[in-house]
Amino acid sequence: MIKNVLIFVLYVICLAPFSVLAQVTVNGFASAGGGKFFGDLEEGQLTEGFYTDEFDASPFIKFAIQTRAEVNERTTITGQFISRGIDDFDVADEWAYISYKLTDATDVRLGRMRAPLFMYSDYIDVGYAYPWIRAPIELYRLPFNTVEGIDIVNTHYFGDWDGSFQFYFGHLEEDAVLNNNEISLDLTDFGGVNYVLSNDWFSFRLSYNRAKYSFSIPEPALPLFAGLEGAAAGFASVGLTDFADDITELIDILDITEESGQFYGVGFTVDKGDWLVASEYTILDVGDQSLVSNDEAWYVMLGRRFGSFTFHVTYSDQEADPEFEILDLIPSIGDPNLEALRIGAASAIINEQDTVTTVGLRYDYGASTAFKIEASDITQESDGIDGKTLSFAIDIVF
Amino acid sequence: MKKLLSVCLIAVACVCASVSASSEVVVIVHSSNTSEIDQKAISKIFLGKAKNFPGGGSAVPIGLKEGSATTEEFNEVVLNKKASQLKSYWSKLVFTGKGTPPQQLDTDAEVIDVVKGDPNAIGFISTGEGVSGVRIVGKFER
Repeated sequence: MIKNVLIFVLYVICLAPFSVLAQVTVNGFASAGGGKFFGDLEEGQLTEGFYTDEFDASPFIKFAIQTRAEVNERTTITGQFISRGIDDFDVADEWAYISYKLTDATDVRLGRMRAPLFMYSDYIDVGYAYPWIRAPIELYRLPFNTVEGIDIVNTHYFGDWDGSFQFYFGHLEEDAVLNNNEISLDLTDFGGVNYVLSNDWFSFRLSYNRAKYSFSIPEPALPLFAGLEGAAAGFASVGLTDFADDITELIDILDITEESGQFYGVGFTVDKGDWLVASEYTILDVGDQSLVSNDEAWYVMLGRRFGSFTFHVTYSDQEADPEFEILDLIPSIGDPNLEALRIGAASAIINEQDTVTTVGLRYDYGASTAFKIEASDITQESDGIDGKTLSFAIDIVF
Repeated sequence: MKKLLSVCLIAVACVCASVSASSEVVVIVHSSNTSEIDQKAISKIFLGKAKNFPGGGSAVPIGLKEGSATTEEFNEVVLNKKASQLKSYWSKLVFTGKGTPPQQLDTDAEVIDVVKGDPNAIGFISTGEGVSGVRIVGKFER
């Protein structure tokens, strides 16, 4: 932690000399809180959102510093460093890009940026910017939210409306967490377009994204792959090459290498001052089945402001659509070891059927500070998790 | 739950009380600025949605400090946003590197000084009385 703080301080100091040449602004945000799951969990099991049946604070702690330097009339540099409890407080370079103003309406950005996969992606870490403690995890479910490359943003106005068109393209290679398991991921040909149309109180968003992706096999699935390879070798050694080939084919299908995925999103917000509505619907289309399945997720949030208080209710739903027929490649010859592999493979395939209902209260108790408290009723059918969570957080921007 | 409800009712009552004090807010620009500037144009400039005056020339918005009665009135009447709404609006832009909120000064006098000295500036102050050397483009009241 001390090392991390030092990095922050050095970072700020290093930028100081530039302020003579460029206009530098430093901003930051921080969140802290805690939460607990009330219900039955197996030992070591986590719910989505990293709740356990013990009170835990670290998934809620975030601290970030951002500097933005206007180098000249057309060029700005933006860097954002964040330290998250969920990543053991390692400092991550979340945003680091150079922006060039092509015209008054069009900016080109080069560097490391947020991939615009969801409506709140751009400021997903800035808890202060939305009513929840965290955006609905059932929908914000992809194990990455960054892209390294280029984007073009065009903003235009007609009457009371403004539109923003964004095209991005790039690559990403990093360590991530998929369903509470650590993996390394590699995305190429990663890009997309999104369009946001908004006025004073209404905003509508459409988004299309695609990538070729390879994930390392999550640790709990390693014995499964070892078992399948053993079975294939066993069949091959006794000359049952058809069975061996089928199992080898299944291994190729299940592993997450060079898969193609497309991700579609549509969303809107209504903010009439007193009333607040937000909703998103997204589809993950992975094409071919691997451990990752096609899925859909959506949520609807309704909120009401009373002065400094915002009450909100959210219902969210995620449903995966796995193609279990691929498991027919395991020969049905009544062998208990093969049947165990079949069951193991079925449970390793992402098969989420989750619903969450959340009620929450946000209290803006100062100019830049919000206190939030939330209760959720969660059902993760695929993991057999059914219970309630209670959490609170303080979000600050500065 | 009953307790929660009463906390909310108290909160609502407090908000109503603070709203009842009426005052005005006056928007000023440099005396050489002849652009026609209505409430929509002011709102767009102060929300970072317009970089120029409707009649041309870049616009530099100057605000008063957060929490002052004039700022709150300006936010609600001209921008049509509550303080917390506005703060989260700007946090979205700031932390995506897309924009920065207007500079904030402490007093009417400081705003008048800056606007007098900068043909691109636009600011708001609590009263138009006794103000000279700048052009008043709008007066707003709750």
